[in-house]
Amino acid sequence: MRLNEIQTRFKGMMLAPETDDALADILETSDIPLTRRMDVYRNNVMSGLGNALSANFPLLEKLVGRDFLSSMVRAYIVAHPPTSGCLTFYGHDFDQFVADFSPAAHLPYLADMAKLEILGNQSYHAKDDEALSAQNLADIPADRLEELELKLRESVYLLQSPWPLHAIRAYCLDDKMNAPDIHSGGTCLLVHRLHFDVEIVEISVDEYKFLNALKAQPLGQAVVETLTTYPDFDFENTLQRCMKLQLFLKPGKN
Amino acid sequence: MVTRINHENNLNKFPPATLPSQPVGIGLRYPYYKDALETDLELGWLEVHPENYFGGGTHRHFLSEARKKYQLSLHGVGLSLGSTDPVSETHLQSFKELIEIFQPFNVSDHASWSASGNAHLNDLLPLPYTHETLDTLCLNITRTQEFLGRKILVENPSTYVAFAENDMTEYQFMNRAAEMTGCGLLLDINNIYVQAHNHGYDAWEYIENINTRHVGEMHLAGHSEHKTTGKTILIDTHNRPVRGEVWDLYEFAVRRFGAIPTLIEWDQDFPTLDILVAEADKARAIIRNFAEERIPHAAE
Repeated sequence: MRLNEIQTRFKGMMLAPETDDALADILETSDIPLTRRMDVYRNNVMSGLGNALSANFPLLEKLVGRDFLSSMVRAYIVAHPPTSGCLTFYGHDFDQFVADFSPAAHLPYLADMAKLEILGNQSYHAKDDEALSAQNLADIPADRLEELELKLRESVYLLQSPWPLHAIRAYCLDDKMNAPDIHSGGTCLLVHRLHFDVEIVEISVDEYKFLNALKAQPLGQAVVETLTTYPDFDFENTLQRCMKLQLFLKPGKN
Repeated sequence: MVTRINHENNLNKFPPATLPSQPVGIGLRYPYYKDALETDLELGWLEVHPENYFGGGTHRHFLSEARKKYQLSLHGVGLSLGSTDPVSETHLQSFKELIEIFQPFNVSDHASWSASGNAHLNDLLPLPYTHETLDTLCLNITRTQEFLGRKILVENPSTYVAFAENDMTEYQFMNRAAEMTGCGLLLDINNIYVQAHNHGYDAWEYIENINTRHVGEMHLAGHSEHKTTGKTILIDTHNRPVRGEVWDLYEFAVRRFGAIPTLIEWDQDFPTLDILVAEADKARAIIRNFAEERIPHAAE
C-alpha cells in the first residue's frame, strides 16, 4: 500500500471508531490487540484536540456543563478536524457549528456566546502592534483629519448580538448572580487587549457602527455615515474613549 | 499588577545564538513562566514548541523574557515531515519569523506525520520504514531546510503500532534521512526505550548503530505503563520522572555521543519547577561523569 493511502486510511481510523481492515492487514500483529494500540492514538488525537478546544470556551462550559460541551467539541472535531499544525486559532468557526447543533437548539444565544469566546481568544493571541498615542494624534494637522485612515489594532474585535451577551457573561463569571432575562434585548461588544489582558466592554450601537465604518473608510466618512443613522452620535466622547482604550493602530509601522 | 510594558519588546530581534553555557535544558511551559523567569536557574537552555508562539501577546512576551536569560531550542510539533502532502508554506513562514526574531541554537521536528488531506491531527503518527517513506520524509526535510535557510534536527518517534513490511530498521531510517538531507538527529532516549519495549527490539543496539556525527540534541522524558490483556504497552506521556532504565540508556548514549544538549521534557501533570530542575541536575551529573561537560560541536 502506498504511503498516501496508508495516511488517508489511518486518518479515517482516528476520526471514526471502526477498524479499517485493509490498514489492519499491513500492520504488525502483536500480543496486544490492534484496537487497543490504535486507541492510544485515537485518545491522543481526540483528547489533545478536545482539551485544546474546550479550554477556549470556559463560559460555554458554565452554561451547558462540561459533558455537554465535550459532546459538542467531539462532534465538531470529527466534522471539522484542524487544517493547520498550529492550534491557536482552531475552532474559529465553532459558533456556526453550535448554531446548527440540534441538541443545543433550545439555547438560541449559545452560538453568539461561542463567538464572543472565539473573538476573546483571537484577541489574546493577536499579533503585537503599536497603538496610536495621543501625541501621534495631536501631530496630525487638523486639515488632514478628515482623510485620516484610522485602523483598528489586530487585537480589536466587534460583536453585535440580539442577545444580552454582556449580562450572560457576567452571570457566568459570578456564581451569586441571578440568571439574566435572555429577552432583555441585544448588545454591542468591543473585545480588545490591553497590557496582554483581554477586556470585553459594552459599547453603544452608534459606537459599534462608527468603529465598523472605520474598517472600510477614512475618519470623516465614518463619522458622517454614523451621524446619518444616529444623529445623536457623540464623536468627541467616542474618540476619547477609544484613545483611552488604545484601540487604534499607529500608522506607518507594523 | 501589570508593569508598564513596551510592546516593541515583542517585535525586536535577538542576537545570534551561541552554544548553551551547559548542556542540559528544560521545556518552558505555561505553569513555569513566572518561576523560571524570575529565578536564576542552573540551566543551559530552554525549549518551547514554536506553534504556541505563532501569535502575539502574553506568550510572545514571556518567550522574549526567556530568550533574554537563556539560549533557546525551537522544537516543532506541526511540520508533519512524514506526510505525503508537502510541508505547509504558511506554517513554515510563521516558523521562520519566530526563528528570525528569537535566534534559537537548535530547530527541530519529528520523523512522523500528522496531516493527511485537509486534516491535521495534532499527533505524531507512525511511518512505515520503506524507501518510499524515506524519499517523502527527505523531500519535506529538504524543503524545510531550504525555506528556513538552516539545518534542522529530526527526532525519532514513540510508536504503538508497527508496519509489517519495512525496508530497513528505524535506526537505519534515521541515519539515512540525516545522510540524504544533511539534517541532524534529535535522539529521544525515552522514545528508543518505548520503541524497544513495544516492538521487541534492543534499545542498546539502536544507540550503538546511530551515527555519532548526526546527533545534535537528546531528549529525556517519563513514560507510562498501560496493562492490557495481560501485556504492557509503554506510552510516551511526558507526565512523570524519567525512569531508571531510561537513565541507564542515557548514560550509555552520553558515553557514545558526548555532552550533547539534553532536554528534560514534561508536558502534562506538571510538577513544581524544582522537581524538573532536579531531573536536569541528574542528567548533568551523568554528563560530568562520562563526558567532558563541553558541547563538542557547534549545533546550528
